[in-house]
Amino acid sequence: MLIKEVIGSVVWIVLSIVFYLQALDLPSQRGATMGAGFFPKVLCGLIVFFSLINLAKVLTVYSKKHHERSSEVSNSEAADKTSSSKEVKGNIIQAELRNFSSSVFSATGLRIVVLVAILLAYLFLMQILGYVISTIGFSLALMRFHGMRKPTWLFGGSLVISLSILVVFQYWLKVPLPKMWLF
Amino acid sequence: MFLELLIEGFSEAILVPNLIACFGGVVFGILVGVLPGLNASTGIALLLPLTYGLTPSAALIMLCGIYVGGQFGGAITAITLNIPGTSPACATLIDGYPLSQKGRGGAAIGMATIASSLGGMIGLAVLVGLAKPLAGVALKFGPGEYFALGIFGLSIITSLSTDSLSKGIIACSAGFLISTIGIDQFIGYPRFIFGRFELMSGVPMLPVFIGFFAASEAFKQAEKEMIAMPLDKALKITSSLKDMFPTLEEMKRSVKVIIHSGLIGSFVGVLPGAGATIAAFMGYNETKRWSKKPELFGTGIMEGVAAPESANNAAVGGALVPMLTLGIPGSGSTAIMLGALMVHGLQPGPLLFEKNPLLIAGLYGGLFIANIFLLILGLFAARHFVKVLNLPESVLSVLVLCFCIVGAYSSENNIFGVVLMLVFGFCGYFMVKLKYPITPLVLGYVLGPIVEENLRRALIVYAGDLTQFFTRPISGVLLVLALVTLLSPFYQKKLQKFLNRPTPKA
Repeated sequence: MLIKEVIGSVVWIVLSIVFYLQALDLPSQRGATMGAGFFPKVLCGLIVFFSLINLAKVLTVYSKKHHERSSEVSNSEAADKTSSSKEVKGNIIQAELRNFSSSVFSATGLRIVVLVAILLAYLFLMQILGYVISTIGFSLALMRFHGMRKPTWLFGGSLVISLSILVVFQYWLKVPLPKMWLF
Repeated sequence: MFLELLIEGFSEAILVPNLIACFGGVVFGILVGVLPGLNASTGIALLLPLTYGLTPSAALIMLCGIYVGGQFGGAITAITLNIPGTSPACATLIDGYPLSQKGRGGAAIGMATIASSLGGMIGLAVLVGLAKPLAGVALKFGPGEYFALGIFGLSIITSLSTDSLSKGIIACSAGFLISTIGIDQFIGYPRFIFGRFELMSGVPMLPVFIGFFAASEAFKQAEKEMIAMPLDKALKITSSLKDMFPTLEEMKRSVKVIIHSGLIGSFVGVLPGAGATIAAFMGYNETKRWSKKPELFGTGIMEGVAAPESANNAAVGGALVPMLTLGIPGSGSTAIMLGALMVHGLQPGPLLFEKNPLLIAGLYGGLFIANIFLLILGLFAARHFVKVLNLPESVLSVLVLCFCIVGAYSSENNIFGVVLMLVFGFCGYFMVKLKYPITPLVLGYVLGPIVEENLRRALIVYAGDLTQFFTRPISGVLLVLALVTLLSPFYQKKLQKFLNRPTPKA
């Protein structure tokens, strides 16, 4: 949790700095009122400020945890002068890192990466093959990815989904869908 | 005059296309409510692109139908399977599932349906009663008042929708920052275009709504394996029609509960950020607090189902009050509905009542009919809605993602809209993972331009004098209230202690 919170806060801070640097080119004042750059700069400042508060809060909780663990160790007989505060601190960080890496490199993490790959391939193919063919392929791949094994659902489902969306959007509601060299 | 308008509104609502839109909306709303993980906001975001082909009136009625149906649908799975389909249904579950275990699940669904429908009517009455006078007051608002109102709305949303105030403010500021992308309306200066011509007119609404509310949910579904639902039990509970009706005695006991929870829900709904979940829990807690037998709550009594269901559906009417009269949405669902109005070239706010009275009256009529449809569908078709859980989750996930992609594409007619939607979807997914709230971000995005534009306009009118925001009564009060709201987490514990004081004996 600690690592996740730290990463979250750091990402917000980095994004705000990127936006702030861009906003430096925008005028902040215009006559009696503010210019185009005023609000973006204030908002970036707010995000950085509250991200730092969040970070401080998380680190306080962590240091409290560390303090509790150290006093537990020093109170126990097993402390036998070999466990130092540094070791306890190291253990907590190691445990947090272990938790974090196991959640990122878990089956869940892998599933998200595969989903991104399927989506990117779909977007790419949609621009070449058009909506119908690419959506049938996308639906098939995604259903398989979600564990569907029955061929009736796989082929029938993907065909019905893509064609029904085509009929509803393109022919009934007249909302255009991507048309390429195939459909 | 007012009655004439209402009659005209009903005549508008019962036009065949509007009736079909309303019925379709309620059915779809109940379906998304039944499916765990999806809710009214997701449903409205998914079907928003469909409204392009409808008249503004039919579009608004359909979205209201989804809102009404979505609030109720979660109760069906909460009562039969102990799985709340939506977050307000968590309150229904407390007494609903024990009732189901006692063999009274069907009657509990019946009670939830009746309470939801009546609660919805109470919410509608509050909407009709408050909207016109409030719109009249809002007509006198200047830019300073609108700025203060926007800030007040954002402060409530930020402080109520999350456990961590700092995370709420970060999310809200991020949404506001997204709204600044594009050409600055005042001086025509491009902001944060990053070399993309498509961003000149700003970040389009549809990819933001669909990405944060629907796609993020689809990504969440992708990370877990499918869990088989014990559907046989749910189908058995809803199979017999005569078991779907509560007894006359239970109805008599619940009428008062429905009325007072409906009123609580309506007024909680009016508050920005409070929403249906808080309304449902407040309705439940207040009913328990004032009950002569509070110890029976949680053991499976009908009042425990009636109270939250009445309150959460009444919140629909309440939530529409600030959105329609002031153009300030108070929840994710109303933010998307505000976007829908804008897509159809309508500007929500007091002028909407002057310029499009028939649309507003049609909306009232549509909401009334939606609640009637809800009553009929909930009592007579609950068993069919349960069957939707038979649909493999893989197929459902594909359907949701396909709708997201087509919807985002239709907003701009290019792939860039889809890319934006996916980016926002992943942002939403990671925000949920890191426990950052999404609603303040979306409302920051919607309210951002209102706040910025009105502040800049007000400063021109006040010749740069900032003190005028505090010396003018309405803006002054609203800004002080915003400050009090933002500081509320610091004195919340004391307030909680005060609220949890011993129950007064009748």
